[in-house]
Amino acid sequence: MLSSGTRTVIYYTALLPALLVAVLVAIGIGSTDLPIQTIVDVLVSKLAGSFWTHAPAFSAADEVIVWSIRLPRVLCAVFVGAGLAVAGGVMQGLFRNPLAEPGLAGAGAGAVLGAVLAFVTGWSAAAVVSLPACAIIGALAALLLVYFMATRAGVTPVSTLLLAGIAVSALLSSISSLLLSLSIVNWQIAQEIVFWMMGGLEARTWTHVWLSAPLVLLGTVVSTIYARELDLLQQGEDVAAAFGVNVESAKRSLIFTAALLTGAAVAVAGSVAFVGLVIPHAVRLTLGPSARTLIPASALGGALFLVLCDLLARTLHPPTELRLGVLTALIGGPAFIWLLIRRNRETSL
Amino acid sequence: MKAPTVPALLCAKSLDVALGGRLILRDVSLPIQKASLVAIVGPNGSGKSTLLRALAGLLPSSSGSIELAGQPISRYRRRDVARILSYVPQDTRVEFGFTVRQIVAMGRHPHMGRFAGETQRDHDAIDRGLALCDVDHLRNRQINTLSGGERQRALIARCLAAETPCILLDEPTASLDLEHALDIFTLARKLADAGSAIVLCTHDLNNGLRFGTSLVVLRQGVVAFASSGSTSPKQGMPPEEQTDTERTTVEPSVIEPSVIEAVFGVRAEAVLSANGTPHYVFHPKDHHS
Repeated sequence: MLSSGTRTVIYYTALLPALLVAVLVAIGIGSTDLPIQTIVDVLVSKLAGSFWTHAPAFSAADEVIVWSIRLPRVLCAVFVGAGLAVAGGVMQGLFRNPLAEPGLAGAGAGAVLGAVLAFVTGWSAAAVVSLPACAIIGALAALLLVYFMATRAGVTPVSTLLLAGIAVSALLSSISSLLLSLSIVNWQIAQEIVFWMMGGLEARTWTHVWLSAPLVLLGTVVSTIYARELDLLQQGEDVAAAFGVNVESAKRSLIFTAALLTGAAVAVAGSVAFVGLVIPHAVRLTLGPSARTLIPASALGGALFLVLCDLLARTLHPPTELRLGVLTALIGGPAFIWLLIRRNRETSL
Repeated sequence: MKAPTVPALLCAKSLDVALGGRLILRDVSLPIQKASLVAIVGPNGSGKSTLLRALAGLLPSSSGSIELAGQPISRYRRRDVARILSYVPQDTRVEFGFTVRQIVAMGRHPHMGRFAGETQRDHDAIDRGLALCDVDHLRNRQINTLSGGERQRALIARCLAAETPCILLDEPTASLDLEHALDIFTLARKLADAGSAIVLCTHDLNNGLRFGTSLVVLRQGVVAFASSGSTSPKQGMPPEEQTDTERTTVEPSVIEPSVIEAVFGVRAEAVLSANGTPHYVFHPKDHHS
């Protein structure tokens, strides 16, 4: 049995290059396949800017495909995957349950409703930024509602939070469905909503990257900073308090961070199921539950997983793209069942 | 004139605690000195765990107070409390597979800066805790794969890593067999002899008497008996009518069997073991032999 330190080193040594390769491959494969050399040339010329002195060895079309179409899409997959996996890791620690998922406290359903409102009102067509902005606002508003419902005299029991989250999620989802059913007459809007609810990264631009990247990076950093609090909260709130954790404030910071991450991810990609559930769980089985290791490693694992899933989604059945959320659920669902069976076997031992 | 007494490290003063609108502790006074092992004994539901959690500052008092190093504990920041006292809860189950080393390292939390990693000092404190509790060989094992006794020792090691002068243990021997229960009592006493203030709840009256430097018996949230070292009033006697001699000369060996019968609902027969330690043998109350 390798020590957890050694396993962490192996994990990063394997997954960091794998992510880089996956990103390059995902940029290269599509309706027009591009050689790695062209991709690297375009990226270098773009990143080096005016310092680039060589004559470009690629066409303007190649540049558009690499820089304006595929790279933003792949980067969105990186940040959405990372954000969901970190949010899931935080929620699993906070709820002391390895089967908790990012949307548990209402943020997922809130983000969906925010986006549906943006479609129905037509704001989403007015500006690229309005759809993701509405989704993030929806996520935070839903969490605020859940949080205040569950808080009495400054104390927020996690069990109440869970129940309030389930209730509010169900309510918001039904409102989303109601709005969807009312807009069926306008098939174009209804189709957009349905596609969005199934998750996907088609036609994502640098605007989406710039929206999600800062929030996901911030959320990952904050979650890592709170790693020791998260570990102690898993020992029970009495123990956490006894060892110096300001329990209510730590819970509040962590749950809002998770909601922000969830909101940012749903805002860019729509509903993408199971990433936030399966990735942190799998990382925990590999590297152990300590949040200082788990959170950054989940970010990396989630990013790699979603880049690969998105690559599959657009290449498995050309020219039609499979919906990303459907594909992650098709992979994540069985993985989840396997984890459940494994867990039951462990507890019955 | 009374001689000035050593101020207690941790002290309950006329403490009332209510949970869910029900008064669980009534007028409990309990000073805890350094280098002592206070055993809190009582039947189920007598308020032992509540008293321990209140002493740890985890429950608000409805009247009276808990004082830590002379200051009300409610005035401290959690982090500062955690540098003076640490705690092992009754429920020691952990859902996730943290290693023993990771569990013990959590004791360093109140000493570490938010952005700081473990320093050499942290490493040393963790290693010392692991060694003193004899769990060093288990450091890379997952806590949820340990036996009850090993897990309890690992959680006490976390308190030692925290380097707190006071340690509160909630029924550390409740689910342990004889050998491992004695291990924990011996360890607790060793720590007290080395200068720590240890408070320990237990059902086990005999071992509480044997290992405690003082003993408090709780009955329905009220102190029914307190041996030397404690200044709680005896049942039915207001403090002002107690003389200093009455307060300090009660020896653990002389808990009246009638008190035990009233508190625990069993008939107690005092015996002396071969090495002279007092010991009680218990019989059903309505069964006279």
